[in-house]
Formats: sequence, C-alpha cells, structure tokens
Amino acid sequence: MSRSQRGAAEPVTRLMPLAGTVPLAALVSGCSASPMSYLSTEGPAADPVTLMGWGFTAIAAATTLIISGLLLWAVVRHRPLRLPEARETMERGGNGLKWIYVGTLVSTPVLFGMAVWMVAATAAVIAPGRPTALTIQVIGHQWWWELRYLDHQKNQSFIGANEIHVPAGVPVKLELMSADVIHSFWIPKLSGKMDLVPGQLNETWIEASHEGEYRGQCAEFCGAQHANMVLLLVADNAAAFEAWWNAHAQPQGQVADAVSHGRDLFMKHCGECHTVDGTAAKGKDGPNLTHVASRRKIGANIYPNKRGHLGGWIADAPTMKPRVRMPAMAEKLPGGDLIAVLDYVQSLH
Amino acid sequence: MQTPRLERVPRFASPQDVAGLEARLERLFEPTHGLRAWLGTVDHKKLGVLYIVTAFVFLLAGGIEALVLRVQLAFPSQRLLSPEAYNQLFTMHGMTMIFLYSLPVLSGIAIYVWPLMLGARDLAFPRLNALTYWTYLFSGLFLYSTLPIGLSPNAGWFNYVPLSAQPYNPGPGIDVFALGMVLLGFSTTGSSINFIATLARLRAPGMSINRMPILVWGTVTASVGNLFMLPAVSLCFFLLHLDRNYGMHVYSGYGGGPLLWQHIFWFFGHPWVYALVLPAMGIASDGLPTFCRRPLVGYTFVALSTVATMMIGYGVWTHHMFATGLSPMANSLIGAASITIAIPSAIGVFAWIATIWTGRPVITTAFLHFAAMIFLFVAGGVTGVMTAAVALDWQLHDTYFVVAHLHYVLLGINLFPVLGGIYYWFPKMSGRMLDETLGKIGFWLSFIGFNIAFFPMHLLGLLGMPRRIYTYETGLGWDRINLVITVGAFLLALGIAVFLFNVARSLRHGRVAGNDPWGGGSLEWSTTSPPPAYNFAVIPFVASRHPLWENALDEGPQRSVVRRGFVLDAGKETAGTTLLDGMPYTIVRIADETYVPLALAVAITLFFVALLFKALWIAAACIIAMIALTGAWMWPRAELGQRRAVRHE
Repeated sequence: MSRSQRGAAEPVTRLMPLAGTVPLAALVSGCSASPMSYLSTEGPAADPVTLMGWGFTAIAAATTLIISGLLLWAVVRHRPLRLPEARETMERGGNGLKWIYVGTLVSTPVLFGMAVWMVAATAAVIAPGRPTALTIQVIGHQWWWELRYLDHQKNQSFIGANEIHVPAGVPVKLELMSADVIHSFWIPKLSGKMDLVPGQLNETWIEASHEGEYRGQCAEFCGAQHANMVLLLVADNAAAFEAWWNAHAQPQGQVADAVSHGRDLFMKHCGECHTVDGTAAKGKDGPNLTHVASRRKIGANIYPNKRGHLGGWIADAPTMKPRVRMPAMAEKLPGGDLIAVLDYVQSLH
Repeated sequence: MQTPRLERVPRFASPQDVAGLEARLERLFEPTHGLRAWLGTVDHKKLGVLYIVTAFVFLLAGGIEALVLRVQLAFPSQRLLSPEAYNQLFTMHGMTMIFLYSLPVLSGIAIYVWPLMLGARDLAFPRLNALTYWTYLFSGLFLYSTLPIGLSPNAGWFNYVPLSAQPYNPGPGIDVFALGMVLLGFSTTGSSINFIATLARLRAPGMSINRMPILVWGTVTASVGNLFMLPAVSLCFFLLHLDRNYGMHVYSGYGGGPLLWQHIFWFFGHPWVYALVLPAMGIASDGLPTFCRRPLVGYTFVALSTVATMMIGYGVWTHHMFATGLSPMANSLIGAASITIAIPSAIGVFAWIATIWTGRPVITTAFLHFAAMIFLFVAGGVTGVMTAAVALDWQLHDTYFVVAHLHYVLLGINLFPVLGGIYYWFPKMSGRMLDETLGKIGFWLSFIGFNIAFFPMHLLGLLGMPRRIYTYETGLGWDRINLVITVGAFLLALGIAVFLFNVARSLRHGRVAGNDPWGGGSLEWSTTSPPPAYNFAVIPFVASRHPLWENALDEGPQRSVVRRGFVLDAGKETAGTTLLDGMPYTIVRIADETYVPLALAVAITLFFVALLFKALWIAAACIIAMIALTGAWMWPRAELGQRRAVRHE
C-alpha cells in the first residue's frame, strides 16, 4: 500500500492551515477537539480520501466564489431599472451564448479531472496493500456492537463488545454483518462507512497509523437509540496488543469468594441474556460481558465504566438509555443484591 | 402531418366585434356560488390556488416540525424530545417537505399558470385535475392521521427495511406511510398525465414546442419522469404493506433482501428530486428575463439541459447506496454518471447569469429570489459533486454534510424560486401587488437565515456529526455550531412569516396590479388580473417565444395576435392544436362543475383507510363505489359533445 499511504499523509498536513482561512472553521477551535472529524485522518484507509476531500472542497469553494462573484457582478454592473418605466425597455443585447460555451468548456474538463481523481482515490482505499494481520467480525445489534476476534494462525477466537482493539500500523480485515436492522460501521479518523446489512456479508479493512483511541458511531439510522450506538477503537503497539489479546482470549477465571454471591445472582438474573465465558452465563441477546471490567465505557460507549454509572445501568438502564433492550433490574435485585451483582461485574477484569 | 379535424371553422375576430361575447363566455364559465363553487370546481385557477395553499399549509407543518427538532439539537444531551418523538418528527418533516410540499406546490403553480401561458382555457382534463387535488389533500391528511396519537411513521422518509418491517416496527405508522404513498401516487400520476396531455393538445395556435415557456418544459419533463418513477415507489410501498400484513416476504431473507428496497426506492427517489426542482428552475427561467428586460439566453440549451438532467437522473440511483457494499466498479460508474449531471446544471447557471449580464436588471423581490436560487444552486451543486465521489461519500454519507447539501438544493431550487414565482404571479392571481418593502425584508431574513442555518451544517458534517441522531454528547466539537444552526432556522422561519403576512395583507390592501405590472412577455400578461373564468375572450395566435415583446424587440416581420383570435363560444371550448407545430387541430370541450371527482377521491381514500384497518369487505365495497363513480364520470355528456351521432368518414 503503499502509494496511497506515503502519498497522502503529508499534503493533508500541509493543507491543514487552510482550515483557518475558512471563516466558519473559526467556529470550532481547532480540529483536535473533534474526535469524529475527518478533516484530518490517521490511517491509510482514509488518508487518500481526506486529500481528495480537501481538493474537492477547494474546487467547490472556488467554483462557488467565482460563480457568485460573476452573478453579483452581473447584477451590479448596470444601474438597475425601476418599475414601471422599466416595462418600456426591451432589448436583446450582447452575446450571451458565449457564457454557455465558455462556462461549459471550462467546467467539463474540471469535472472530468474530478471523476478521474475519484476513481484513483477510491481504488487506493479499496483494499490494503499488504496481508491483514487478523480478522474482526463486527455484528450490529440494536443498539450495540458485537465483536468477534479471529486469529487464523493461532486458531483462536473470542467475543467482545463495543470496544475494538487492534494493533497499530497493521491492516485489519473487518467482516460486517447485522443481527437485526441495517447499521453502518464508521470510525471517521480511520476509514469511511460500510453498512452492516442483515443477510449480507460486507468486507472492509482498517488501519490505525498511530496508537490511540478512536471514536466511531453507527451511521445508518437504526431506530430509537441510533444516536447512542457508539464505537471505540483502541490501537495499541504490538506488545500491548499481544498482552491484551492473550488476556482476552482466555475465559473468565475464578472469582474471589467475596463476589460469589453476586456471581450466583448474575447467573440467575443476567445469564439469560449475557455471556461470561467460562461460566454458566451463556445468553446471546446482550453484549458478551467477559472481561467487561477492563472496558472503558458502558452502554455502547455512552457512560464511563465507573461504579456509579454501572450500578445505575444495572438498576435502571431504560432511564439512562430510553428504549434500550436491557430491562431495569432494580426490582429483581433489591438493595444488597444489586451491590453484590455490581461487585461481581466489576471483578470481571 | 395530422389532418385538421375542426368540426367547424371558428370566426377569427376581436372580442369587440362579436356582440355579447364576453357576457356569453361569462355565463358559460362562471361558477356557481357557495360550497359547490369550491367542492365541485374544475377551474384550473381555483384548483391551482387550492394546491398552492394546501402545499403551504404542509410547508408550515414541516417547518414547525423542523424548528422543534432544532430546539432539541440546540444544545448537547437535551431531553426535550424522547428518541421516539424525535424519530417520528424527523420522518414527518422529511415526508412532508419531499412529498406533500415540494412537488404539489410546483403542480399548483403550473396548474394555475400553464393554461394562461399557453393561451388555453383550462388543462386538458379539468375533472382529473379536481380528482388529483382531492386525492392529494386526502393523502396528506391520511399521512398525518396518526401524528396526534403519537404513532407516526418513524423510519425516515426513505423508510429502509428491515427497520420499517413488521418485527422491528409493529405500530401502524409504517402502514400509514406505505398506503398514504400509494394514495398520493394516484394524485401525482393523474396530474402528470394531465400536464402531458395539456402540452400535447392545448397550446395556442402557433406555439410550436420551441416557443413554449421553460416552466412548461420543466413541468412536462418532471411529469414524464413521474410516469416512469411513480410505479416504482407505489410498488415498493405496496409490497412493504403486503410484507408487513400478509407475510409476503418480499424484503426479508426469503425474498429479495434489504437492498431490494433501497434499489426500488431510489430508482424512484433520485429522479424524484429532479422532479422537485426542474419546474422550479423553469419558474426562474421565465421570471428572470422579465426582470432583465431581455429574452432568456440560450433557450434551446436550457430546455434540452432540463430534459438531459432528468434522463441522466435515472441512471444514478445507487449513489445513495455507495456504502451498502456494491462492487467498486458499479460504484465508480454511478459516481462518474452523477458528476456528469453537473454539466447540464452548469448550462442552466451560465444561461441565467448571461441573461442578467446582458440584460438590464429590475431588482424586485421576485428577482432577488431568482438570483438567490442561482447562488444556492451552485453552492448545493458543488457539494453534490463531492458526495458523488464514491470514496469521499463513504465519509460524507449520512452526515450533516448531506443534510446541508440536500437543503441547499431543495430549498435553494424549490422554495426560493417558488417564493419568487409567487411574487411574480401573485398580481396575476389576485389582481393586487405584494408589498415590495415587506417582500425585501422577508427575502433578506429568509436568505440570511437560510445560510446561517444550513451553511454550518457542511462543517458539522465534516466534523463527523451523523444525521438522524436525537442527541449528541458534548466534547465532539458540535455544540456551538448546532446552536448557530438553530438560530438560523428561526430567522428563516421569521422570513417565511413575513412572506405570509405580506400575502395576507396584500390580498386586501395591495396596490391594484393591472394586466401587466412587470412588462412580461408571455400570454398570461395579456389577460386581466385576476383572469376571467374563461381566461381569454378569444384564443390568441402565437408567432414567437415572447408574444408580448415582439414590438419592443422588433426582430422580424412576424407578429403574434393577442387582441384578435378564434372565437370559441358554442360552449365551454378551447382550441386543440398539434403536438409539435401547434397547428389548429380540433375544438376541445371543457367539463362543467361536478362533484364526481370529489366523490371518487373520497371512495379511493376510504379504500386505503379500509386496507389500513384490514377491513377487506369495506375495501371491496369501496372498489364497487369507485367503479360506479367512474361510470358516472364516463357517462356521455351533451356539453362534452359525447352525445352527438358520430359521423363516419
């Protein structure tokens, strides 16, 4: 890859100061505060497109300015006539057709050039230039993301949710599917969208050039909580990713006796919908909660994974995320039981 | 060459030469009074006004919905609306603006203006005109019927399956949407047929097709387009209804899969957006020359690029589906085809600018709206090229960038020229001028408000805000822009309010207009304001594109004749002419007032209501009623010459 990889990053950075010249860009104080912005991107699946985006924006802005300048000039170059006297004036002056000939002759080659650029940039991001390291299946649910990590060399696989971990600097293959309605996978800093269509397998790829956290969110309207179907991608260096993988490929180990009451309650009340690998909880309707305590956020990345939020979520998720499928558990888990389950869930590192 | 089949040769005279002509026409055409005059009317002027007023009521409804949405989004994490309420409101907003305002308002203007521009006394099928109005009104009420009980459609105006399928959306909202769309399809199909037949037969003698106003080109292009695209939307919605209620499995895995819906819907949906703008561009193409004191530059180019836009528009529907996993080859071809549409669009833009450049502008409120349209069309067009670029669209798709683009083109090339057109033709319709000072205040409020509301949406899209989200968290760089947008939306609404106030005030207090307040060039300005029920006392003869400017332009020996013409007073009659050359061909009769179209519209609507409740016996009864009413409609009538013995030759 690459041609696109090498070619793209630099001109994009060079063009960045242009953002300051667009008056409205001043409204937002810099792009760094915009984790969803694709005015600058950080992966080879996005960078050639970002360059094209800046190029097309420049052409679009120039076209609009030139044409509206001509329009304004056309209006003000005459002393305007006034009614009702104007009704007497009538003439067919000037060679107006020249405008159409020149205008079309100038704009057509520009449009042709844009079409060529479009095909080239699209071709540059269709596939990674080198073999992918691993495959992650992303399965959309109303309103969360199921993630299946597959490593064919190690013949390992395990399931996570909502928080994708990838090694930085390496292309990763994504297989996109849906369990219910159409969703769309989108992490703007890393790549464009690809839909998750039920009954259809869509493939795409992604690569984070640098370590870091990247925000994404569902981009195809999918019902009541479309707005809160957030995705988080964590790109680690090779060693950290290896460690993360090894920890997460293991089922959940034994838990301390202190939380065994909470574990039993969890198996009874939560296991129908949630899975914790290595336990009796094998439900498939909700996110897999193996190692859930290590995730950064809950509720499809809308609340921090802190004790207060987590407890609130277990007690009354529908208030925190209206129409969510998870029922309020407060009645089934009165007082101490809720705390016990919370202790257990927080122990799932 | 068709043989003329005039059953008699009408007199060629001026109205003054024929004793009692206008009084006789008055008696023939003048409507009865009271309720029948509206419920039974077949007069294109009344129906045109009904269409326009109804469309503006829906515009207000959709606008209020938009303002509520904007209040919800003004600040992050607001809880003014529940997600369900937000989703219903944005769906209703889109559906209202796209289906119940944009096309009907253009139909209304065309229904009013066409016969006057063409030198005819009505559309080709006056009773069909009444039927299509009533079905439009009833389908709008049908589509709004579940809003008061909070069960409106909630899956967006393009209503993707499986989100709109029964398992994920069991309420009545989607069925109301599906059946309402089929019902509305009856109306749009009927009005399209009416426009095409009118163009083919009712142009004044001498108005060959290269002399038609551009509005006529735009409307007829949209109408022919509608006849090809509407079956797709009616089919896809009707199949959805069957899928949801009778287990047809059209869009589930057993049948076609979810992308089948998208293909059929956009096969309709993309050409549809051109149908929403081409007639409006025609309004500007006819209005601008009047305010530039010269004919339109490049008439032939503009007319042909209108047709070309529609035709290319049929080949680009999957540019709404770039992210669904179609092959790169398919995507690139459609992307390139979509970019091609910029060429006919550019032709129109340069023709308009050249018209202003080589003319002498008269800066009226109408002119300002048309000039604003040119600017907004360019600004919305260039972003259309950006979203046509496949890989770039993978980023732009379903963000506020697309919301910005579609509002620039739809408001820019529909709402602004429509408002301009109303400023232009209101004097003709009402006999009074709209106030120019109020008009300019309203224009600047709405133009500035529009740009404050929609320009920042481009940036919001580039900063990654997806469309159709009911809320967003702070810290994403979206907060301030959203607040600005909401302020702009209210400014725009204020501009529209000033326009409506102006209309209400001017209806009573406006300056009296006279026949031709602007010095227009087409036939509508030759008759009185408002026009008599029969439009023209004699049918004029047309010798150029601008029958009323020939003396001023003085470009040739030929002159149109508008003060004299065919005297057609043996009944409600108008002249029928040939398709290409506009040669006199036959005498067309116009139906009298009748309640049959209204009754038929009621029966059709009840049929769909019965389907909604799955009351199939009532639906069957409605079908019988429809057949009976169609029989009453088709029953031979003396005034239409259907009861004379046919002479075989």
